[in-house]
Amino acid sequence: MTPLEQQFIENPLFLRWVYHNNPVVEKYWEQYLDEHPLEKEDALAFKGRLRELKFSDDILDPEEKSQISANILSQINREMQRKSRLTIVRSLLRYAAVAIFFFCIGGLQVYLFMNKHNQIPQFASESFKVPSSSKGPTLITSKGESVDLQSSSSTLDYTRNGEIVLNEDSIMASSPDQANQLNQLVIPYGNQSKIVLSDNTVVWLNAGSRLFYPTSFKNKTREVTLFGEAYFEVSKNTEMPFIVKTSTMDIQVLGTIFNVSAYAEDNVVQTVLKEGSVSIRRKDAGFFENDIVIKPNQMATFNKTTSDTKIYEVDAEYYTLWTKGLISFEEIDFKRIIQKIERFYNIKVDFSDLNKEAIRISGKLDLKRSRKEVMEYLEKVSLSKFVQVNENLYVIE
Amino acid sequence: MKNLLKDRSHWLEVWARFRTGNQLAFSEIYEEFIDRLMAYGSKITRDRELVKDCIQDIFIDLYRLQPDLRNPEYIEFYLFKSLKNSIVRKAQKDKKLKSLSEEEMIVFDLNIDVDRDVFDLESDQLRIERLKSIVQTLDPQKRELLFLKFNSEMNYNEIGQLLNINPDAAKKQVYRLLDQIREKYGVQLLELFVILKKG
Repeated sequence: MTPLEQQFIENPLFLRWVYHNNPVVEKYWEQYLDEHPLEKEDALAFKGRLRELKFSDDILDPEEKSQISANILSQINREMQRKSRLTIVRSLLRYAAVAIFFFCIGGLQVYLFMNKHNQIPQFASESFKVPSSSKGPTLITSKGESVDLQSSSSTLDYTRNGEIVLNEDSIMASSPDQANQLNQLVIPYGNQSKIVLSDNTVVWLNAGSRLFYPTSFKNKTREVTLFGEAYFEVSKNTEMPFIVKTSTMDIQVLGTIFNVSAYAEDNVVQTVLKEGSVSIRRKDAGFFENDIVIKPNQMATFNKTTSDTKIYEVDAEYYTLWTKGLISFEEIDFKRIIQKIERFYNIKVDFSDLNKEAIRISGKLDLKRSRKEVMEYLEKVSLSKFVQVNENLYVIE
Repeated sequence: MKNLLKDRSHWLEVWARFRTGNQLAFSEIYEEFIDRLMAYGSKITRDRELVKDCIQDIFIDLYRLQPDLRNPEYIEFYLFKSLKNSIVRKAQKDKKLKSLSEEEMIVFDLNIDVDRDVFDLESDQLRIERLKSIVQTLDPQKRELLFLKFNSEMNYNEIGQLLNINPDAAKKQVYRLLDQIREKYGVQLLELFVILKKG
């Protein structure tokens, strides 16, 4: 091997370029070869030669992967429970994981959800990229029973004392909550659900979301925890503020209508207010930091990376259309629209040209139409093409 | 740019975060390495289920040992080493394989990935066959060496430890192997050329 070839082969980035290329690595080498034009010919020739020695890899299919991640999670949960018992005994830690929830997942994202004001931290997996094989909405009761809600859009009603009404006909007996245990409603991608809480607050849960809530509210505040997106019509009760907790912020209201989008995989948490007023407090807010208060038709955004909070004037109607199976967008990044579609149809869409992610698009989509129609419409407005790779995977070109 | 490259220093940083109990770091490690561990493990043994079990075990161990990982090894090395040990240990419980030594047990199957972007399936058929036969005639340890060199960011020290050879020997062998492959491949192409001319 020539000295130059030796230099290349000792550079992990060169081998990455040959065998596991990605746009960042490609850019690096474009730039490098521009700056070192004398090496260009040899580099490309050597790359070509090494490239022929790419070895084929056995890969796990999505089902195998989700099986593995489920096994790991359940094992870890068991460990956590064991550990927490120890810590209680020793009283060494201030908190212990008492309520442990998990949902099985394509990718594994475990997230320790802790709140200083709450004695029970919840161990929850924040992001659940639900595989296509997953079932419809599931209710996990405070007693730990798992109930399959059967239809992809269902309604749960808790307003009748001692009973839960499912889809306006079937009735389940509701049992009083065990101390500090919560119910959990899990909505996989491709599903939506509506729930009426015991205080008459109505919550629409969007695809890929979950809500933790008590069977009835007994504390001074009405608290629920949300991962994902939900639209709330909070019944008025000035004595008992209603608080929506997300991983990054708490939203407190007295009686109002608003929409929260707090998906783990989205970098921005959005709260849009339709009526009433809400105040928002960041989880890691300093002692002197004021709450953010928004008025109707305003949207507060919180950027998880930069911790920036911004307030925009918006038309709240746009952000709540999804409860009617419509999505609407004004000057929204193509990428964000694609994320919504992915959740709604439970599919995966990749961009082959990353520049396309930032195209800004305005319009309205009726998601009750077929996947194909929706994509055709998006192809037109974005001047791109959806290429189907397999049943659940598309690439935008 | 540095971070997007997910290079060695990136993983050092993730590793450090994980050791302080950051749950998202655990997820990131899982997402990045699940496929790569499968790629490596399924070459060590042909027993796919065994590899899956071992991968599962090493992630659970990783989580369980989390607070004790005070002495950081490079993450890739730690995971690859754990997987290899785990596969060998489990396989040794198997009656048929019991009598084999570690070296004999590791088959390290390597197949050339016949990518249409690189090869023309019709005109390159002979080249592909020759390349395949060259790789197949290498002994398993050399195949593993090439695989690790090409598909990881481990240094010769770490690769050497995985293969039970010293780092210098690992480096020299990589160079020698690449020269050999080029030579054989070149000679064979030359032969082919001669044959074609005669024909």
